[in-house]
Amino acid sequence: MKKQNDLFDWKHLKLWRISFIADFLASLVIAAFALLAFWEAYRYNQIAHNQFQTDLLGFFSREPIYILDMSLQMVRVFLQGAVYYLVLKGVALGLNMIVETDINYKEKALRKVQNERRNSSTDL
Amino acid sequence: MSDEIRRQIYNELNLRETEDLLEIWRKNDRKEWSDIAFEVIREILSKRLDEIPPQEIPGDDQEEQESFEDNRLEEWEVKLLDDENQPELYDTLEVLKLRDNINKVATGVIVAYVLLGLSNLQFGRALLRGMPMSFSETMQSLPNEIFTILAVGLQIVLTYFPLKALAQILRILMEMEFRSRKAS
Repeated sequence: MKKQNDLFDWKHLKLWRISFIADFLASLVIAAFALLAFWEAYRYNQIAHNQFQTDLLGFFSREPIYILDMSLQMVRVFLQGAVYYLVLKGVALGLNMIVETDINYKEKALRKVQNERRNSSTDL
Repeated sequence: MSDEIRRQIYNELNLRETEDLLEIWRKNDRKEWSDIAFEVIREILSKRLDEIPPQEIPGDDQEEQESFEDNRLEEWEVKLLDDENQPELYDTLEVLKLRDNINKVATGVIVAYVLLGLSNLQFGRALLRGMPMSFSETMQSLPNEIFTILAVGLQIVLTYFPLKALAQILRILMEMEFRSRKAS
């Protein structure tokens, strides 16, 4: 682990920070879009109230097609949030994998140099 | 209190035959036996035997792993999951789950957008209301309908393919990382 810490330089830190932010944002985004999905229901309630002077249930009993409309809009908003969430999570994990890969190769290179030094010293 | 329970479990399990204990240990049924029971069994077995045999994967973990294996895991992915030397900066299982979820959402996007498109088509709305459009009305609304279909198609393409690409990128990155670990 100590060796890994030594190999973790400022470039890795930069990527790791972006990954951390993306991971944090992913949770925020999914929560925000879940709320926005419910906002759609509220919007339909407002339409019912303003245009038909009734509540949501009264509106749906008068115009049943809007049940499908509202459900699909809610699903659309939530799916949009899910897509953003997955993309942000994917970016976060992808960056972590890139950092890990680079550290692995650096570790390998370092070990190779150490082995060569050891071999040359035993030859002498 | 927990020491008292542990002592009771110990006394009870210590009366059992080694073969019985070995069977419980191997099966590793976490629903039937508590974690304390397994700790105690390990303690008893270590006193009775030179070497304790490995346990099977607990039920839930096994189901989780099997669900991934059903989902066409490649050979290197199974190796990666079983590998003792796991990466430090990310969780391999999390990546596989994310990839699985990306594929599910990509399919969900197609279904949702198609349904949304159908509900937005004037022809579809008229059918849902139980008042099918006449031929002349259909022809009049045709340009709008074509535009709606194209818009929905574009939305599907713009969401589905980037998601699929992301799933593939994650797969390739994980494979690269795994190979770099094996190489080092």
